Amino acid sequence: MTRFSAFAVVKNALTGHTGWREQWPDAQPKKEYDVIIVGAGGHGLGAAYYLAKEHGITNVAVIDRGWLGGGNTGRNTTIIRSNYLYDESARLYDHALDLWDGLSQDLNYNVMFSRRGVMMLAHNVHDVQSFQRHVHSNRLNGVDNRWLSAEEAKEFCPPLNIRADARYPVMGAALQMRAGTARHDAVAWGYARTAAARGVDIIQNCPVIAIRRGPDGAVTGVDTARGFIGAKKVAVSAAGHTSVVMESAGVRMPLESFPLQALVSEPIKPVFPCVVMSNTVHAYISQSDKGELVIGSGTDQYTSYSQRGGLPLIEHTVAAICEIFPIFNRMRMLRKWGGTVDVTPDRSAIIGKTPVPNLFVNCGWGTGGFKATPGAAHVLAHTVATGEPHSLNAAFTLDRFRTGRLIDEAAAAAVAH
Amino acid sequence: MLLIHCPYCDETLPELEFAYAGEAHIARPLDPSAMSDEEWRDFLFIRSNPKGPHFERWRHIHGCARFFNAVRDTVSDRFLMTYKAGEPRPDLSKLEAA
Amino acid sequence: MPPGLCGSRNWPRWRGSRSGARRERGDAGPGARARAAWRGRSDARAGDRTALCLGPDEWLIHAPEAERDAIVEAGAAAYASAPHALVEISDREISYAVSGPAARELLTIACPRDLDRLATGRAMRTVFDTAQVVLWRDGEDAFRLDVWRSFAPHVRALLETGRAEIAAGF
Repeated sequence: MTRFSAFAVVKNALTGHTGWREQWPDAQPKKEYDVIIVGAGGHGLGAAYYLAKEHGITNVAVIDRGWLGGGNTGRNTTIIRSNYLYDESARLYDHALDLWDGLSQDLNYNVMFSRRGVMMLAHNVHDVQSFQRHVHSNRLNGVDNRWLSAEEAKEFCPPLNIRADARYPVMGAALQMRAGTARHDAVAWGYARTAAARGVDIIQNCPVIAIRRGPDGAVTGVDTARGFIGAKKVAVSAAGHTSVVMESAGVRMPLESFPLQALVSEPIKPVFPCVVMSNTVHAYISQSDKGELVIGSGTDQYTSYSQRGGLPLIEHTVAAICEIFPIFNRMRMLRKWGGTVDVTPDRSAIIGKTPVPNLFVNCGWGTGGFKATPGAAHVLAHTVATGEPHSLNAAFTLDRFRTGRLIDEAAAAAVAH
Repeated sequence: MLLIHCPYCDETLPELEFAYAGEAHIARPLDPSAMSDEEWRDFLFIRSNPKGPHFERWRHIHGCARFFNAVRDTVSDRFLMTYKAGEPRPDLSKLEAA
Repeated sequence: MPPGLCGSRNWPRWRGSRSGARRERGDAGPGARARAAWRGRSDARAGDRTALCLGPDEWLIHAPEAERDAIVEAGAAAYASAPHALVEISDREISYAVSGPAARELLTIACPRDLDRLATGRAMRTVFDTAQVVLWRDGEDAFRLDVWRSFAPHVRALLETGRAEIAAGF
């Protein structure tokens, strides 16, 4: 593996950039692996990396129906934060945030993690009460989050419209300074490169057709478009397609797959210093390092695997952005796209064991999986390697929908997130 | 934007007038106290979430206000048919042939 | 820009008013008769009273304020043979009249329905941006919007914006 450094950059610059090598090989499937991970997004590739690095399991394949990082990893708005209400969520997301902090050094790959602060706007009395409750709960959990008045919010993000007669009046905001953004593709590429260097096979353009089980019910491997591949353990980390893959193993999931849309504007000079989220009207905005405004919507109302959504939702989101940030009302939008997000009834993820022996699942991240990437990958690797959940994902079981021990972030936030 | 045929209005109208209401043909338990935890889980939380034809409920909320059922392909988002609430679940093989 | 707008003052007009008319909404119980009626769009007029069929079992009655008691009594008398719920909603709504050569165009800024398919004298329940409305067509270039009062400022602001844009020739 090429080690990236200032010296390597200078050396290649002087030799016409002919010295760079391919960062990971396009692996061909072997007959059998110790672990197969279905889905080569950030979560799946990260899990392969932590399996190799922390558990010494390197006979691992990550299989994807498309190209790596081509699903929700490449389709999100790159927001990273950890200010969730419940103890279980706060711990898990804050663990992810801790890993984000050192990720570029750990992977020797710049994931461009930028702690620019995430500000969540409160537009009504309910928002104020709910966000202040989040601030208190977060502080008790040692999670950074603080309350800003409307004026303080404006000072932190000058384009914000805080006039009292605004369509979406700003009554205050919750600010997590430790939160921010990262370069989404770089996360997938960084994990892929480092995992491949440790011996992990990354098999792209190879749809998994079914999970095969032996006579004792345990997993024996996966049927793919390139034939059967044996595996001692299988972990499904397939986002919107999780219920389809799990169905083939006879496991029905508490998931529904919705389109989630985002769009970017033409690039402009740096004007927007942070991430602003308006959960109540479903408008999320930040500015990328290229200068584009990156804008996210809520999910469409109907389930779909189309990877595109309806225009009315985009129109609503852009209208809201123009109301909240009037300086953007002459901006032109360049392109929009959609991802397929798997949503659980309590809006919390499922990471852990399944009723099928040696089959594990990491899913249900809904509209907010990117922020959890290193944390989810880390605890998934632990669960697969040891056969038991990490203390951080012990509560995020599939079985909680039977026992009723939900982690109800849906009710906590009063919106999907 | 989806164009949805309301079986009560007998008109094909824009999605903005309609509200999605989840998977169709999930019957409420007749004897709730006799249900096991597994049965409650399946009723409340487990959904078929198919990649392909999906039986689902819609409500023409900004029109005639009626709930009705639809079969929609979740890959193309194309509606195969809509039908009134209470009518039996249509036979998928016949729909796909048509 | 529609030709009719060039250099003239024929912008669409709107005016907001608390409707002087009494309005009542009837919800009949489900029944074959109600559904059959819906197929034929059983709108009806009698004198100053107008009954608009909103759905298979839901009607909206517009009538002069003085006829309020008569309508309530008629409903009560018919209750035994046609069980229903009759609710007065006069105080809930405000009506905006939109008229002028560009009226239809103005409404299209937030109404997803094909207005060409709404015949003069007919009405329908639909949506205007995010607010539910009952949209009446009173003439070729004349419409009326019944809006819940709490949504009225939003609808009015949108109509104002749209009018200004059409006036400016956008």
